[in-house]
Amino acid sequence: MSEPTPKVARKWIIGVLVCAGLAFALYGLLASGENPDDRPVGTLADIASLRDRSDLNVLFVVIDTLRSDHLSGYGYERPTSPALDYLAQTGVRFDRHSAQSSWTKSSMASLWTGLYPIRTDVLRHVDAIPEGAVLPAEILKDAGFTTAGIWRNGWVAPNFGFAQGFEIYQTPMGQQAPASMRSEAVAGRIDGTDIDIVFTAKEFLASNQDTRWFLYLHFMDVHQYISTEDTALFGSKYGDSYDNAILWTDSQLGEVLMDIYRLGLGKKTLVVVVSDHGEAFGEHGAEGHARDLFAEVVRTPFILSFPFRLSPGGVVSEPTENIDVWPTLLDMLGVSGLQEPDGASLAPLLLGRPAKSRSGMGFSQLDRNWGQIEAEESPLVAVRKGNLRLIHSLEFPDRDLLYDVDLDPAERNEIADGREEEKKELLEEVQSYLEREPLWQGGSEEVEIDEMQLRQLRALGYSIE
Amino acid sequence: MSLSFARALLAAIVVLSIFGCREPAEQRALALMEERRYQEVVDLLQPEVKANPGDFKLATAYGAALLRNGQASLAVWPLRRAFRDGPEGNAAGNLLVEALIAGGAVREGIQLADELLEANPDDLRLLTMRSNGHMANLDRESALADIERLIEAAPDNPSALDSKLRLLTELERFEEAEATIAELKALLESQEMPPQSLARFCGAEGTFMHKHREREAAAEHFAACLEKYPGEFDVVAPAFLFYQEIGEHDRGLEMLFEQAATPAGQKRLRIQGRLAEVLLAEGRTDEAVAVLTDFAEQFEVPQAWLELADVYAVADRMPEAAAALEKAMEIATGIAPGEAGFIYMSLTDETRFAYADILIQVGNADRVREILRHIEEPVYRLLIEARLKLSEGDPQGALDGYEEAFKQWPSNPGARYLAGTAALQLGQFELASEMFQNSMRADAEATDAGLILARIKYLSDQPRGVMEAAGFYSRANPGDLVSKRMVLLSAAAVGAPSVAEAVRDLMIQTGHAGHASTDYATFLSISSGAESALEYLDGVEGLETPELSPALSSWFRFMVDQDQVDAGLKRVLAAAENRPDSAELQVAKGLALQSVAEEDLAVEEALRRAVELDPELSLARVALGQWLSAQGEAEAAVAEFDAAAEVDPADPDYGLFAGLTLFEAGQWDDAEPRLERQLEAHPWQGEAAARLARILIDRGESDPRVLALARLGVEYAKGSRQFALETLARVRIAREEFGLAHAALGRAKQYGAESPTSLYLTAQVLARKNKFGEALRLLDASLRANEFSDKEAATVLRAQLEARRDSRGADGS
Repeated sequence: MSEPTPKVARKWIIGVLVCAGLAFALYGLLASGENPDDRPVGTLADIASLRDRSDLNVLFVVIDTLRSDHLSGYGYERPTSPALDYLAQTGVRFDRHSAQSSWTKSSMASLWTGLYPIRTDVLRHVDAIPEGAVLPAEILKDAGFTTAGIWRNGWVAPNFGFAQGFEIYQTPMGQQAPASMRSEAVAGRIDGTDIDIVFTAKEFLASNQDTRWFLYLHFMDVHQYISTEDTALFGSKYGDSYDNAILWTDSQLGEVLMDIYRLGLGKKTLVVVVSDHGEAFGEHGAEGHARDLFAEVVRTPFILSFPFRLSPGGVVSEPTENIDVWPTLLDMLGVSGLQEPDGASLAPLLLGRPAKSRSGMGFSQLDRNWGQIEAEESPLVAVRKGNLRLIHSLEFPDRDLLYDVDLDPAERNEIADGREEEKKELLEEVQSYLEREPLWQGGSEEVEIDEMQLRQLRALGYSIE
Repeated sequence: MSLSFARALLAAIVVLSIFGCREPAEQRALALMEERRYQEVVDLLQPEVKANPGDFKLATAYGAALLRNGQASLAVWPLRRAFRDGPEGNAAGNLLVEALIAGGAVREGIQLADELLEANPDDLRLLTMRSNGHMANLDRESALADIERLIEAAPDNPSALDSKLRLLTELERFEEAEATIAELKALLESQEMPPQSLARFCGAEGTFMHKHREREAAAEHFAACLEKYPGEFDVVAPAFLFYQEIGEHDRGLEMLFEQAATPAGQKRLRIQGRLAEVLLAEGRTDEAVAVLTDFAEQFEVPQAWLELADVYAVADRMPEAAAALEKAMEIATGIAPGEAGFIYMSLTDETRFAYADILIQVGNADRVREILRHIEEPVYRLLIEARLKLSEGDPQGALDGYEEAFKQWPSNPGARYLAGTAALQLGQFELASEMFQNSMRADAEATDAGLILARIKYLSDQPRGVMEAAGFYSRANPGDLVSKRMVLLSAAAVGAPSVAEAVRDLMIQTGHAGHASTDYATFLSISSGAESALEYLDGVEGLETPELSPALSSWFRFMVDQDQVDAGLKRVLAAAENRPDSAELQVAKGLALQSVAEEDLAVEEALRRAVELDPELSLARVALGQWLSAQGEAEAAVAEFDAAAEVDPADPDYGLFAGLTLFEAGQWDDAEPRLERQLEAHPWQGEAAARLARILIDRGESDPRVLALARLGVEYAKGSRQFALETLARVRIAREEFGLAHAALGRAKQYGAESPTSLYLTAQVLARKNKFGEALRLLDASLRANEFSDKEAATVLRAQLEARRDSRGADGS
């Protein structure tokens, strides 16, 4: 068997590090005392006054495929995430956060709308958020923000409804970085790397530094396992490469943060980091994501960094979900407009008050046949209630799995035997969840995916038939 | 300089001129812009823009420089700011449209173009950009509207007419397309176009007719084009595609042959190459090779030899692939690789890497080492070094190299696969599993790592692992039957009846009803008992048809389990009698008759008849081979297994059966090379490894490789683990690792009654510990067995031990 030719030219990567000097820049600078972060020190109580400010920007970062238990700030033994850790140490980290699906499109639809997948009805590869939906970018645009999205994952393309409200919704063409840094991805099959996002974001910041803005960045290099010689610190297994890619992406986020701080924008920028789903390494048999709903593919980070520094940073240990993210942010910014979200603002939690409308339960959902147009639906639903989490497949009902996520957060020990009552109760919750109606009449829209888009999505490693 | 480029450049220079007189930096930028040194302009203006984000002139110039520097995505932002902040109608507008469309925000580019065109509807440059945007968005109606406006403004533009024709065809507006064809034809004729362009148009017109569903007219048109422009690729290619699409592949191939034989076609590699490609896809490799060889030898162009090398590589004929590749290099450089003066650096790094990889596979290690000195990319070097080490019997060195390479290139499925092979050779079974898992994960279609993983999970009794690996592989390779069967068969042990049903239905849908019913019955027999299986098979329609013959055989076996041999046999025989022309049913008959002891002749007759009816039915070959093997006719059996392997070379079992047959027949000299080949192709095959280790230890070899083989046998020889453990014990004894030998023999006891071989080997271990009495007792017990292959050796050992005991006069035990 011949070894295929790699798309490798590592020299650019070294170039990146030498020229920009920004791998670990944030961490390095902070360690050396050259901290360009001039945010004042604040307290959690200051969160309440954010809504009174008219100068706040929002940097909303989605790091695709990022599981929280591989971040050092979330207790991982490897130092994979110095920049993220810095944000968490001076902001708030939500320790038990989950995404609503293990597949980008479904998960992102829930993230933006605050609705569970059953209510967005974005469950199959042809489904799109309808035009009638009101998304955060629309709300912020109406509130006077310059809104921009820079993304590289085909599942959040405009024809799936994700561009609503963005004045410019841009997927940077490959090789936007300076010539000395250009090349194709090391391990990926899609053109370009997150360097293209970083450089585009830097141009955005330079051009819009004196306006009020909302910038959404969707990083993809963790999804593509891209790293550099200098960030390939953790070994050669797949899990190691994943960690290498986190470190690399973290350094890229660090570059954007450095730019924000150096432009003096740190004092008026709310930075948010989340992910759409995690990644599996055979913990429960599967590899990658978008195949099941175990902890490794739905436990994701949620980090909030404010225009002031907390010292020490806060940690929220109550379970939270991606559907809570935008209700929280809009609440903090003092604007409203999300349509009947399932999620709730977590701001009261930060202020020491109980959050409103939180049911104490959480759901994730995946249609196992999301990529097969001819196949019947095959919903997989996970419900968490208290310390228990049940994963139920409608197609294979004899394979229900129950876990005690307090004792066993990685869901390694199945405990259904002898707990029929609890299982039954959770199954009723699943049933009740599945009976909910989509928010929009008629549910999601179905769009035609052309061959070009299909090829791009397949290049991400997805099987679409 | 193109019109668009000139205009954009002009706009940028104008902007720079406005402020160019103010500052030296800006004057410098102007000069650099005129010299097209855009990166330098970017570097120069970037800090200025950062410091003055609201200066629209500066932002325009900076954005223009980025745009011309190929950084449209970055140019969007300064240009957008400039457009927004500048006066109405400022130069940034058109540049921004261009940046948005080229820079990944097509929708926004079109919206802006709409606005600008409202103010300036005759801006053809904007119209062109917008039509490109619509095309990128696959909005053909809007693109067509813009193209029509462009044609109105410049009617003599053949490329605009060509675009219009394409769009109209895609929109299935055939009457308008016909009119456009007429316009284009007239235009082309008036402009004295070269014959190649006319041929291309002729081909495009034929395609249009076909899309217009004028099949006969299209056929006539293509025939006329081919006559007028013989051997023109731009006619031949669409004509062949036309025949393909109307389901007349043979006619298309005939046309390809004819065109390749025309004087023009004989000189065109693209025609010869397409013919070779089609032949290769049909499995007519030799003909494909002949086509390309004739061309390559006649015209001596490197590309022809490269294509020939490709054909050889696809056919896994690596020595010939290497030779063709070398010939291409020789023609290109004037010197053959390996000869003095050949400069490897004249090749690209990728070519050096690929060439070295092929050379490893043909065993030319010396030249690989020579090339290695010239490979620049470190990861290429690591991969070649690793594979070289693997080929030279240094799996540890190979594995170390791969580990290093994976840090830089983690998703290389081929290298992960080879690392898995190295790990197997080293007896690092967990690591091997992980490597195959990773190879599958990197690209489940690139190698059969997923199947190997499923097999080794099966062989090491991990049914959930089988289901997961085979399921993963099956999803990526929906046409693969083996993985589906493995999922179904593992479902019983995992307790997943719904999965079993789903896979069964999928197999039926994909035309494998025989295996689906058989395997599902097996699933039922394991999960619910033979009665359930029988009940299910009784309900399967068409069980006596050839397609379901495996299920009929399965049904018969369950009938035997239920002591209903006669009734079962009657049904099978009747089915075979009703369809005497069915090889499959003759196999079913032969297999059923095997359960009736007196019917030996009838068994062989049925199986031979099956082979006669369908010599390509590997099922028949294997059944006959196994029968012959059981009758002690080793050579005849091996011939049948070889015939089956020829029909289905991907099946790992047929070659193994041949090796095992020879081994059991005591023909170890013949068995050895076969077993070696098996392991080379299927490094996980524990059954082969255990036998090979047994042969080698018999020859007095006990080096680390023999030990690794024996360990592989223990791990994966699921059907003969006792034999594998005894073999491992033999190797341990030969290596004087008596404690480990004893442990292996202890484990062997778990797999059945203590065999005479185990007794004999244990006696050897005890003798080494001077426990002569106990050793002699075991030897006596072993020598009492009727069938005992080591009887002679045991007798000798017994005599030696007795003598030693007598000489010592005491027993240590």
